[in-house]
Amino acid sequence: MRFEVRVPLFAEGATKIKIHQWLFEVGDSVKSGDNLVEATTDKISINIEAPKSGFLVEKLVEEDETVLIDQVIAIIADEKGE
Amino acid sequence: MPIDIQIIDLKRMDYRQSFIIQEMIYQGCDEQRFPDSIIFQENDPVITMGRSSDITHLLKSEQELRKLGIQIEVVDRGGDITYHGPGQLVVSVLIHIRKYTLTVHQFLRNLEEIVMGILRFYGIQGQRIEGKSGVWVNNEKIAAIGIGVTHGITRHGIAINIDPDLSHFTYIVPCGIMDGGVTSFKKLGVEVNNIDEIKNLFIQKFNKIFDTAVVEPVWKEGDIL
Repeated sequence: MRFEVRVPLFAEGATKIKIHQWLFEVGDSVKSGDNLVEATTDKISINIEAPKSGFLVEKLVEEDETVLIDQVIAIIADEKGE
Repeated sequence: MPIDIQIIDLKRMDYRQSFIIQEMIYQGCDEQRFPDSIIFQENDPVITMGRSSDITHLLKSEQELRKLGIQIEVVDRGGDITYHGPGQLVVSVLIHIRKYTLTVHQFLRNLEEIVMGILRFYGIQGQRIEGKSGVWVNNEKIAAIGIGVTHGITRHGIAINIDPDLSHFTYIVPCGIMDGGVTSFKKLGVEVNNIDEIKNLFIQKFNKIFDTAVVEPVWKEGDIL
């Protein structure tokens, strides 16, 4: 199974949300609730967490890239090769 | 049904120590051991740099600042460089933002609204300025804002200038804003005899705007480290 990691809806209204730093690498095992990535706006820093346990199999955005609310930014899968 | 909130007053404290306490309280909130929390504090002089800080906004060297008795700390909040010191009330707000069906943007605006209400009580007309966060009086900032969100829980908050040493702000470009100064209740001719009055007003207005109710604090001062 593959799960999408999205920019949380509570960040709505924040302008220019930028991916600041990934805290895991592709292939890493992650637990539900782990902070995967830090995003920032001019006044807010937001840690985006893993919605499920599994493996981080894809990062869809790079550091310093701007993202939108609800945008899919990564994929977590049950198996490494998924 | 109002949401429980505990009030913690650290009074005057070194920034690093108060930061450790905030982290401890955050942990308690995250593990559902603690209710949502408001932390009041006044810090010893310190310049803090957030995630989006620009080093060129620090206008003196670390050595010069240390000689002046000002520490430098890097912190995990949004926002650029800022100063905290005696005479400035720092209010950290740790809430599970999803419980309030709030966006972070609305959360920031609510904090600003609370401070504008406090200013009105003292006869000061505070305002927001389009494109800049915080609360302003005549194009000078009286309250600065910066938060972090982890596991859906907010941290940090808003700093209100009551009567800090405003000369300390000249060592930085506060929040990276070049075209606005900094002000305080004192500079505007308002003497606040008891800072607790401002804390009480903050709690009253917070409860109203966020629909919270104060409960006996679970975290006690002995729990420091």
